[in-house]
Amino acid sequence: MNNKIMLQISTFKQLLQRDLYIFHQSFLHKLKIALCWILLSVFVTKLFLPSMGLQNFAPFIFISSVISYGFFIAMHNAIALVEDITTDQAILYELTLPIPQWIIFFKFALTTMIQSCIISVALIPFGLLVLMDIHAFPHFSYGKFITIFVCSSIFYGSFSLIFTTVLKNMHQIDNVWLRLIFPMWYLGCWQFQWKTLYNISPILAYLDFINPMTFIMEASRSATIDPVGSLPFTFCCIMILIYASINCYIGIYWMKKRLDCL
Amino acid sequence: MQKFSLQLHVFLKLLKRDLTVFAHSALDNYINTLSWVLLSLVVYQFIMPKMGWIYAGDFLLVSCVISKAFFGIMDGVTSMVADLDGDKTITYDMTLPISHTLLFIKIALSNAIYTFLLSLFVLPAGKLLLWNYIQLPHFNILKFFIIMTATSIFAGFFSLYIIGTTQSIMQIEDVWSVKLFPLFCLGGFNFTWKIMFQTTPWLAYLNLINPVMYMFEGIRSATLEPSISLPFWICISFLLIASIPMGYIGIYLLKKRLDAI
Repeated sequence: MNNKIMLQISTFKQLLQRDLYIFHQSFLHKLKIALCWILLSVFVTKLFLPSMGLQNFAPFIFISSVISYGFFIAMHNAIALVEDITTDQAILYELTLPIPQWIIFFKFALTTMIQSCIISVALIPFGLLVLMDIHAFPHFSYGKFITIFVCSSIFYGSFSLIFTTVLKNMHQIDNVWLRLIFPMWYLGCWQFQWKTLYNISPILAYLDFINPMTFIMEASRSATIDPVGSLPFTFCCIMILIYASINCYIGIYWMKKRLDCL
Repeated sequence: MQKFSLQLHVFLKLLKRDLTVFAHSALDNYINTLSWVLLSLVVYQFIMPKMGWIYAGDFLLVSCVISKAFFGIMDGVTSMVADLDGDKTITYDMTLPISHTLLFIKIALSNAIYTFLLSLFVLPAGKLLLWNYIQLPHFNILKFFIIMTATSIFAGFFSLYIIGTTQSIMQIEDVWSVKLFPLFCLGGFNFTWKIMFQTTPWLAYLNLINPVMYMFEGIRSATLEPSISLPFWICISFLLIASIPMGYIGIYLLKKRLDAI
């Protein structure tokens, strides 16, 4: 019994190591791409948007962009997995290994979670350089900040499974992108506060609770910019973890179904 | 003369084939565009003004038209790069009685028409969605069609340049991040060139070589208060002139890559 468990742990560890080795090789490239998107957005927001009425908006956009970047990493990984499932099916080899099949999917989520966490954290010093001349994060709390980074990464990892099951083939990328990812990200309080939405329409604001991105964005701002104007931090973290558990459970179930697993 | 009419005939047939392919996925494309326009408009019309944003949805709506025109080329670019990287079905087109230059111009035109048809839909869709909120009192339909045409022509030839400079499908992500997004982000999706000039004049002058900036400024000049934008005809002239080197470089690189005559 012990031997079997040891073998499974060892296999899991080896597979995870392999994924992280592949990630390690492309880390700088991925960071370069992330920096292009995020630094340019923050730069433009800092320099030009104050004249359009959005004063001191750059820290807001910076923290929203950094915390939500994992969402796009999840999508990227899901696309890669769907491409594999619809072509070479290299994943079938992993499913034959002496390890419960659900662990293979859990490993996929865990890899995405680690990648998301590493890339997002690596973005922070570069963003702070752009914002160094302004007092960007007056209410910065290290504890809360680390907590929300971990919680959001757990969510992105689990959500990558949902992406993979929703995306049936490569032709649907645009549809999934514009009908699922963009609405979740854009309406998930990326560039506005939940409180502002509540002042405009309480019904829509409460409906926005269906969107887990709302809790991620609000918690990140609660940990850095404005703890009073954001949703309560602990409540957001609990909601994110609940959503992550549901996603993980449903995602693994759907993946097993899709790949005819036992 | 007969040779020319034959080439023209093949050219038109190929263009028609491309448009038929577009028509097959048109519904999906329009639904996706509608979803994106609706969300962007609702956020910028109702929520962002409460955050301090001084312009309403109309400013963003016209920016969305250009965004669609600019990013719309990526559908054609991706499938073309994937083809060059894989099956190379273009080699069949290259055996047809049509000069290779004309064949590549056909690709540019086909992308231009595709992006024109998609982006043309954005403004009426936005108007229909937020009828009373979108006023556009300075809207000039003639100028609007002219800037749309110039934008699409530039986008079409720019797509040739992108195809020519992208070696494999693995580089598509780099194209988005390193080439398109900087041009788009500094091009003025949510600010004007004049605001850029007031804040950082050196960057504003540098940005005068960014064609996307002329797209945004041109459409604002045709639809919003003209005084907030650069002169309309300067934008049109720049876009049309900039299309020439883009097309030239793109065709040159494609001919080299495909060993074309």
